[in-house]
Parts: sequence; structure tokens; C-alpha cells
Amino acid sequence: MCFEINICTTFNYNYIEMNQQVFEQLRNEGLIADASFANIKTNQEHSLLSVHWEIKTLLYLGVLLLSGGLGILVYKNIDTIGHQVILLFIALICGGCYFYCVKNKKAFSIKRVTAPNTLFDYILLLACCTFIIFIGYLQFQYQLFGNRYGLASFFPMVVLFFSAYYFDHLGVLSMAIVNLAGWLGITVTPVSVLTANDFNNSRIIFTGLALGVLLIAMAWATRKRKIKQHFELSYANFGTHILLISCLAAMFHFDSVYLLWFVLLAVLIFYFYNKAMADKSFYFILVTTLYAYIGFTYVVFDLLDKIGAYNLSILYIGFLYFILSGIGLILFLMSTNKKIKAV
Amino acid sequence: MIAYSTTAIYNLFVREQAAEALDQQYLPQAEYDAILTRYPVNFYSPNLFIRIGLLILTFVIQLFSFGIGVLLFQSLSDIFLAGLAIFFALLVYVALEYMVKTNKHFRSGVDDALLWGAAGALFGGISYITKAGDLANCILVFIIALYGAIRFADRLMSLTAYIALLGIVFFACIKLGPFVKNFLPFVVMGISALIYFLVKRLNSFTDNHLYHQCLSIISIATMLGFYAGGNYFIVRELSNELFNLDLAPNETIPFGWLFWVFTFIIPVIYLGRGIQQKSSVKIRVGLLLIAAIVFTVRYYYSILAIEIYMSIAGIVLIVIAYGLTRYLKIPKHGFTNIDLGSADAVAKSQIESLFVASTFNSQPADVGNTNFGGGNFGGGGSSGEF
Repeated sequence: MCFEINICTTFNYNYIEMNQQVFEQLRNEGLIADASFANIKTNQEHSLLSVHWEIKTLLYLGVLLLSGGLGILVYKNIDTIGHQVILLFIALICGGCYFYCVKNKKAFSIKRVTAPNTLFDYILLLACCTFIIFIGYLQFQYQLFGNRYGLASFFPMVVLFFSAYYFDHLGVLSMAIVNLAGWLGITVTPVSVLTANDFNNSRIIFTGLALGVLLIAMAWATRKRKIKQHFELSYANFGTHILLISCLAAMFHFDSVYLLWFVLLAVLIFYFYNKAMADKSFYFILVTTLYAYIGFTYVVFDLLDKIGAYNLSILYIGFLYFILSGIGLILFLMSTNKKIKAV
Repeated sequence: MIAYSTTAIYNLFVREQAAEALDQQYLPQAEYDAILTRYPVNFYSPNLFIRIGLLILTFVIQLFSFGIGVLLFQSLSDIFLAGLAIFFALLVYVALEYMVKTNKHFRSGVDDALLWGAAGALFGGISYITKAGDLANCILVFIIALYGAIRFADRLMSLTAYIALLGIVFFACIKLGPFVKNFLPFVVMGISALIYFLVKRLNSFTDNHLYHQCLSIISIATMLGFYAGGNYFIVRELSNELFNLDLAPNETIPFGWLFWVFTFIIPVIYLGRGIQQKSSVKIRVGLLLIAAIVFTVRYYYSILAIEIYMSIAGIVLIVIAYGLTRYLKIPKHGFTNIDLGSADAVAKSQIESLFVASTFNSQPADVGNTNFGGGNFGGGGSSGEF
């Protein structure tokens, strides 16, 4: 996968300053032509420093602080200042931001559309955040959707998905996916997917499974239909995690028939592993391997438990299992690494 | 001195340089390929994600190997188990040297995990046996981390060594008595400045490619350490805590004004020097510490409510960024707003989108506790936290 290589370079990013001595040596060895050397030398002397990511970070923090601040402001003053004033203020920001986006956007295409400028992505982000605050406020104060609470989160979700596709914004797409999950009653943000959900609740588990299947299907359709193909990774990422976590949760929760769930897990792992190999995706290889390891370990320990409950020698076997399986998995990952790189 | 093959590290360095030049289109592909053949690297360094996997698994193996040792000797005393930890550390270290020498592992996850496993077990064992105090612990960490940093050029080890050194200075000053204690902030600042300039000297040597990543981490850490030594909040709260000053909320410390000056002036100097020298590291550290100024001031002088500050700060940041974008539409004074990096924009926004998803509250507030959406899935759950 091309963007995965780039994710790696982004994380491995070391500030590389070009070292003239090295290039002088390379020229003396006849490895680079004088023209290339001159090229490097002049560019060294007139080098430009990019502050692109610094500006982006400032914008990101600005939008984060402003939308957070407004959110708290509304929450705290919900009874004091006039509701209309607050609503108007938020609506103005939201409307202004959307207006800017509509005015400045490039023509819609089902392919990837780059943002017209650095600012655009963040203005859109602010528009979406203030819109959510606006709807939430309306619902709280005026019961816009009455008791149909589902609708109160369904409506912003539709707007988010629409904005993500219409303006081509990956961040808004992720927000929309999080919102979709929230509408179904589960939390899928990367930080709190494990802590905020009660996976002892069978309804949550089934919802998670269904959501995972839906997202994987979206990822598949995105690629198949060639509609905003760069959105595939977002769907696949959320989908894989929520599906495999729900499947593991099902194994632990329905422990009388856990082997059935283990078979389902194995089928899913088989599918994801093959897909990852076909896409040459190291990330999904790692993810599927670790989920498979957890599931398999559960089965092993359940069997050990059945053989001799809390016998000391079982403990030794358990520890040995971790050591040997660890070595086995290391060899497996190393050979997979080699296989992907060889192709 | 260094465990890895120095030629291979040098060749890797040349390759990185060439890759950067290729990326910025100063080199034709043919010349780049010629460089790759002339500078072979025989290290085993797998993909980043595989490295993470290997790191986790190597830790698991070490943990349970030690666990088996503990199980075998569980009837013996604690001191003996601490001795076992030291013995275990030596075994792990031998394995580490073997992996590096024979299997050519270089930042493969395996060597990282073995290095940290050995260091951790050695520290734990010695510290437990000697019943070391704060100062002795810091000295122990410093020695182990310094060795790890020099022998394996590990970035995290070098950072740990610097932090441990600050710890040594800190606890030594406290031990030396009340007179020296007063100068603690200045000692911390002095040590940091000293190391900063030492690192700068080391960086100017020609063979710095062995350690250049370690050195740049330390230099960033010393810049932050220098500021921490002079920041009003840190100095006031730490002295209050440690020396039992029992300060009233609006009481200040001796030389309080001086620390306020430091609090304000150091980030500005970093930022200014960064812009002057076109050093993105200094600019980033400067920007980070400007946020520290805001937090420090707001801690002592909170006139407005937090959400007002957040909103104002947000607007200010957006306006500044907007101004800079407009100003740098055409590159000026050697600065540009164009992304010169190699990784393409989609990959970066993929990562960014995950940040957006986890930091922005995308759920409407107070939509109700019961969620009747999603009839297909049995009505949706209610235990999800919004």
C-alpha cells in the first residue's frame, strides 16, 4: 500500500540535513555527476525551510481550542445568557465557515480533490464542530427532535458524511464514522474503544460486529466503485478493529460456545491476513497477528484450565507457552516481513 | 565502542542522504541506484510495524522467561530473586550482543526490547539489593543508560541518561544543605546549558553520524530542561513542595521577578534564534514553550474563565496561522508554506484524521441517554459513553 510506506517514513522522520561532505565524497568516487553536486550545493545555500506543519499545527490547535471553548461556554451558560444570542453566535461561525468552504472549494470529483489552501481543511473542521454543537444545543433547549434521540445524532452524522465526501476531508470522515458508531451506541475513538464500551453486554457485542461488517463493506465498496478511494483506509481501519475486538469480546462473553466464535475469528483473521498480504500492508499484518494471538492464547489457556485446574505444573506449561509462542510469532513476523518486501 | 558495524551505519547515513537528495529531485534515479550498490547495508531492520510487533513479543518472552526463573526459586528469599534479576540481565545482554553481532539486528524491535529488558532487570536487581536511595538510584540509572546510549546509540537511552543526570544534580543539591538548595534552579539551568553546548561541539565532529540522532534528542531535552529550570511555575511549586515554604496563594518566592523574566524571555529567544538560523527544531521548541508561558500566567492570574481563554486563544491561533499563510504565499526570507517533506499528503492526513477523531468531541452533547436508533441492531445500546 503506497500510503503505508509513507506513514512509516512520517513516523521514522528524522530531520535530515544534507551533509555536503558526503556528497563531495560521492562526487569524488564518481557516483554522482558534477551537475547533481552543483544542484545540491546551490540548493543548500539557498535552502527554504518549510513551516507548513507548524502552521497546520497552529490551525489544528486553534480549531480544537475554539470549538472546545465554545462547547464549554454553551454548556455552562445554558441557563444564563439568552439562548437566541448563543445560538446566533454559533450559527454565525458555523454558517460563515461553511460559506467559506463552499465558496473556495474545488469542483467535486469522485477522485481525490486536494484542498485549495492550508486553511480550508481547518475551516471545514470548525464548521463541522460548531454544527454539532449547534444541533446539540437546539436539541437540549428546544427538543428539536423531541424524544427521537436517535434522530438527534443521526442528522449530524448525515451532515458529517456529506461534508466529508463533498469537500473531501479525511478528518471529517473519521468524525462521521465515530458518530455513526455513537448513533449505534458504541464508542470507537482510538483512545477509548476498550475503556468506554461495556463488552460484557451482548447487545454491544452484536452491534460492534454489525458495525465492523458494515465498515469493512464500505471499505470494499469504496475500492470497488472507485469512489474516493483514499477513504478506504479509514473505513478499513475502524472496521477491522471494531470487528475483531467484538469477536474477541464475544469469545470471552459467550464462553459456553466460545469455540464457535473462535472459528468465526479464525475465518476473519484468514480474510484480513490475505487482504493485508495482497495490499502489502505491514500495519494490518501486525494488527491481525496480535488479535489472532489473543484469541488463540485464550483457547490454549481454557484447555490448560480444563486439564488441571490451578496445578503448578500447568503454570509452568503456561509460561513456556508464552515463551515458545513468542519465539514462533517473531519468526512468523520476520518471514512475513521478508515475503512482503520480496514481492 | 558501538556495538553495530560502523561501516554499515556510515553506509546507512550515506543512503539516507542520497534518499533525501533523490526525494528533492537533485539526483537522477540512476545515480541513486549506483550509490545503493556502492554502499551496502547488511542490517536487519524490518518495517516499522513489524518492529513494533517484534518489540512486544520480545518483551513477552523476557517477562515469562524471568517468570519461570521466579517460579523455580520461589521459596528463596527476595534478595536471592534480586540476584536472579541481575543474572537474568546478564543473560539478556549476552543475547542482545549475539543478535547484534551475528544476526545483524539494527533497530529491529528485538534489539530494542533486549536492551531495555537487560537495563531494567539490572537496575531493579542492584537497586533492590543495595536498598538505594533517590540519589543512588539516579546514579545507577545514569550509568546504565549512558552505557546503553554509547554502546547501542539508543535515542531513548540517551534521553534517560540526561534526565538521570538532572536527577543526580537535584538530589545532590538537596543533600548539600539549605544554602545550595536556593541555587537549585540555576544549577539545573547551568548543567543544561553546559550539555547543550557540549552536544553542539560533539555534533560538529565529522563522524557524528553514529550518534547524531541521540545528540539531537539530547539537545532538544536540554533546551526544555533549561526552560524548566527557570520557569516560575516549576520553581515556585517545586520549592514550595520540597522545602516546606507553606506559601500563601499570592505569595511569591525569593527572586520571583527573575523567574518571571526567564519564563517569558527564554521561549522568545528560542523562537527568535530558530527563525534567524532557520532551525525548525528551535522554532518548534519555542512554539511549545510559548504555550507554557500562557499556562504559567493563567495559573497565577486567572481573570477570565477557562472557556473564554480557550476561545480567545483559538481565535488568536487561527488568525496568526491565517496571517502566516497569507504572508508566505510566495516564499519569503527563506521560509515557505509548501510542504517539502517526502511522505505524501494522504498518508499524513490519514494520521491526522485519527487525531481529529480522538480529540474532537463529535457527538452532540446531551442527546439523551437512550438511543433508539439503529432498529436493525436491536435498538442500539445505551452504555456507550458520549
